[in-house]
Amino acid sequence: MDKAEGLKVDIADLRAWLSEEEEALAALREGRADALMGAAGVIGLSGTERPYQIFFQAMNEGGLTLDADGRILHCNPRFSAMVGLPIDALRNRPLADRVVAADRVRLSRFLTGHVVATCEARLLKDSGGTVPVQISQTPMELDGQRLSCLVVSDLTAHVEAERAVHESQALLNLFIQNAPASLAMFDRQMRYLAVNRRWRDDYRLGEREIIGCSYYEIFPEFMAEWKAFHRRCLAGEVVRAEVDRFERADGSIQWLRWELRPWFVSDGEVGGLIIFSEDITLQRHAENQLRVTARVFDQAGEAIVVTGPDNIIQAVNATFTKISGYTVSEAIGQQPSLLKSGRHSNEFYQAMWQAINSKGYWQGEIWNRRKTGETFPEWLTITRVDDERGEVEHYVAVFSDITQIKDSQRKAEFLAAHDALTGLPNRNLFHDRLRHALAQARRNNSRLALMFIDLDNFKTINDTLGHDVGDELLKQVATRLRDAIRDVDTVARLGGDEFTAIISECTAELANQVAARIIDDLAAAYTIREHSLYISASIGIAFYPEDGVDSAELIKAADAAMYRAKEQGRNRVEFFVPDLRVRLLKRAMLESALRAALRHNRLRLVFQPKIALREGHPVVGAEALLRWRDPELGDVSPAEFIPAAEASGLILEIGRETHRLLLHRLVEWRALGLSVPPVALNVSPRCIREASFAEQLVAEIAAAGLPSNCVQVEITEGALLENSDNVVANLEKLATAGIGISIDDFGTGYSSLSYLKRLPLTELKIDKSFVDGLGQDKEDEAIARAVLALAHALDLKTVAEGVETVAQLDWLTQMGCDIAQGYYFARPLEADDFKNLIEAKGREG
Amino acid sequence: MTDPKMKPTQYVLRLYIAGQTPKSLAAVSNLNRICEEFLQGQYEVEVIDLLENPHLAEGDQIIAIPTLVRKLPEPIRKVIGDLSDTEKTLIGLQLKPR
Repeated sequence: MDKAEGLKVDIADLRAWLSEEEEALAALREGRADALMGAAGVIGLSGTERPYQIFFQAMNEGGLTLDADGRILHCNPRFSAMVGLPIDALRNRPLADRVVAADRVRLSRFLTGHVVATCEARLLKDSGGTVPVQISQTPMELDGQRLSCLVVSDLTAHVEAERAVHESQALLNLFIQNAPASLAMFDRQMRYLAVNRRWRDDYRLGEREIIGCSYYEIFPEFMAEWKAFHRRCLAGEVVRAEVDRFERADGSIQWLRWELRPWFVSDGEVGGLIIFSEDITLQRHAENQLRVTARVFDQAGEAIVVTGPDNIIQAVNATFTKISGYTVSEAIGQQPSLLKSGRHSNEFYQAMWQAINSKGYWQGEIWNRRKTGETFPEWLTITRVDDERGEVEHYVAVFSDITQIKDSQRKAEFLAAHDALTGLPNRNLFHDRLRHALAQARRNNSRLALMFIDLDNFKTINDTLGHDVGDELLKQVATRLRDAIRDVDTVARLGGDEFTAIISECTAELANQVAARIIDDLAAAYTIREHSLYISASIGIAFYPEDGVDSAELIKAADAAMYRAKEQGRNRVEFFVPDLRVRLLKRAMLESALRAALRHNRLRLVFQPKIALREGHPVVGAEALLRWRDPELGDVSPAEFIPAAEASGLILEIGRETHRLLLHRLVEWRALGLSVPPVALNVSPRCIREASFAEQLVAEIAAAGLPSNCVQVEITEGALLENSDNVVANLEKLATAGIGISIDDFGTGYSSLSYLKRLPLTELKIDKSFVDGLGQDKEDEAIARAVLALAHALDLKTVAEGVETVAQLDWLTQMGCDIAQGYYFARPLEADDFKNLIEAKGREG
Repeated sequence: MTDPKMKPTQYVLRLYIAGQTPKSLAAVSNLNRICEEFLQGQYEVEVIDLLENPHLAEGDQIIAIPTLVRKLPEPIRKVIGDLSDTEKTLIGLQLKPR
């Protein structure tokens, strides 16, 4: 036969074979079958040798053949692997050499038997150590020679499994012995078969020999009742009691849970019974304790809420339901925030939890909300309950409703702030309210009226009809006053017959109406104890901010107005009239101080640098600003003294002083050889209207020996609007002389393009109020853009005032503004500082 | 209703054992039990002791004992072992789906 043909094995057949071999080997390993490798197996079956060889080589069992002397004729790779030696090294060597010495005799007997059988032995590994194996032998004869075919199964896994079984049996025994319950096993005659440690302990049997003894012999005092139980159990019933009371010999009470359970032998007959009993005395005590606690929980006067660590409510008591209105089933499963009133901030709760987590508890007053929606104050204690590992097990909140306590507290607070007789706010609360109203008016930029209301001739009523009638009258007056004003406003009683009203957001007209209504309402007849009484009132009114900017000033003004009403004949309303004399006096003081300042050279100039918005930001000019420091008044702001100077005509003298100061500086700096950029003077509208203004300035500059273009003139847009020929004439003369003209605060006035076009201007200054919004306010940007466009159209330079941020600077630079000034570059500098600046810049340049 | 003409499937089983070993005895007893329980009236069993007739192993290519061979219905199925696992045996005989 063709060799190739002979080797041609149907792969499917081989697979089927191999799976059968696997099955066979599994059965061998598990001891369900014996190997049969006789003449019929390995040899002589045509067509099957090949699969057998493959199987023999590949199988997961050791396979070998021995000769009659026990030498290895052939073995497979698995066996070679088991003993850790190559196949060649094993050939012709006795198998006994590879077996533990102690097992050799047994092996030899097994092999000599030469029958189908198995034996267990331990193989020696070449590397040291042993492998437990099971050896199946199939004897066979080949060509008259006795051979043994052996299959060697590795039992390591079995041995370990067996050890595990033994261990688990020992474990089970240990478990039973140490079970926290008493266990005993009896046969049908109630003789002890087995007991555990606990049984001996519980029944105080010590180490007494009891196995084989009868239950009744050990417990002769046992009641007939128990015999009946045993009988029932031996008849097949499970008898048990959950809680049973025993009185011990020493009189102590023991609580037991017990069970009698029959056990069965294989034929289904009851073999005896097992008694299980558990001493639950301690448990009973704990349960009792628990019952007491539960009663406390249920009947406590305080509401109690128990949550888990997740803050979900697990239990609430009856008082909780009474206070909150939520039933137990409505509360359980919810969070305590169910009761949140919304009155407290998140910070409040955060602080609370922080305390609970760090200190273990929190205590305090908190407002919560009932199911009805009503909020109520409670006194709350939250305690964290930890388990033995220190982790949160529960939070317990205990609270009581303190509404009543709070009510009386509120009453006390009310009384402290209110007049006991009329219930109106008293003097203290009035002061609070006034301060509050003033702060609000200041914020809202609104007016506020303060009224002082005094009853005319009240003293007479009090003296003639008695205090009781007087008090009753005051009460009724209070009611009428309260009705006469809006709810948002305040009526207070300052004492005696003096009342006051605070009316916020109030015009003179409204104040007048309210006052007139009060006069009318109070004039109607009062009936007090059959008396018909009439009374009038005098009212004084003062306004914030005109008549006073704080409480004290305003009260003084309203009081003064009220006295004037009395003086003017009572039953009337008077507004506060500021004392003109005081104002004049103030003005006069300021003027004389200003004259003294001029005389004593107390005015000085500071210099605000003007910076070109191009490479290097060079200083291209400055604006000279006037400052006055008075030895008595301190620093007086130009905003305060310039209006006074303009009103008094002193402004002309101040103008001249300004020129003198500036020209003096310029001469001084030029003498030092500095190149000084043009410095602008602020010229008052009053000055520019003077016919000789330009001529004088030009003359002064010339007299100082300075070129006229070293000075610039800044006038406000408003000054241009004054209908004066002199203004235009002056501007033209200045321009002719080469003096630059800046329009200050441009954009705030209403100058028309055609008008501006006719004027010889050189610069437009963009007012700080528009610069402020650059980069954020679209409207400001639109105005600034328009000014820049206008200046461009008129061929004027542009100067941005009050530049403070880089965003403004970027915007202006981008939009082509020429020059900027402001804190971003420099604050107004004292003369020496400015000199140093141009000196430094000069050196740089 | 069963068709009276349709005969129920007939099982022809052959059990190979080797002498009176405990496994062989167990296999005989287990096989009897399983047949009575699952194949009542539908089976024939032949027990072959290879110690007595070693040559008979050839036909079914027996390599381990006990081995149960289902000769009929075809195809031939083998269950190796003492048949103590009834479930496995039933699956092996295709009396129960795998």
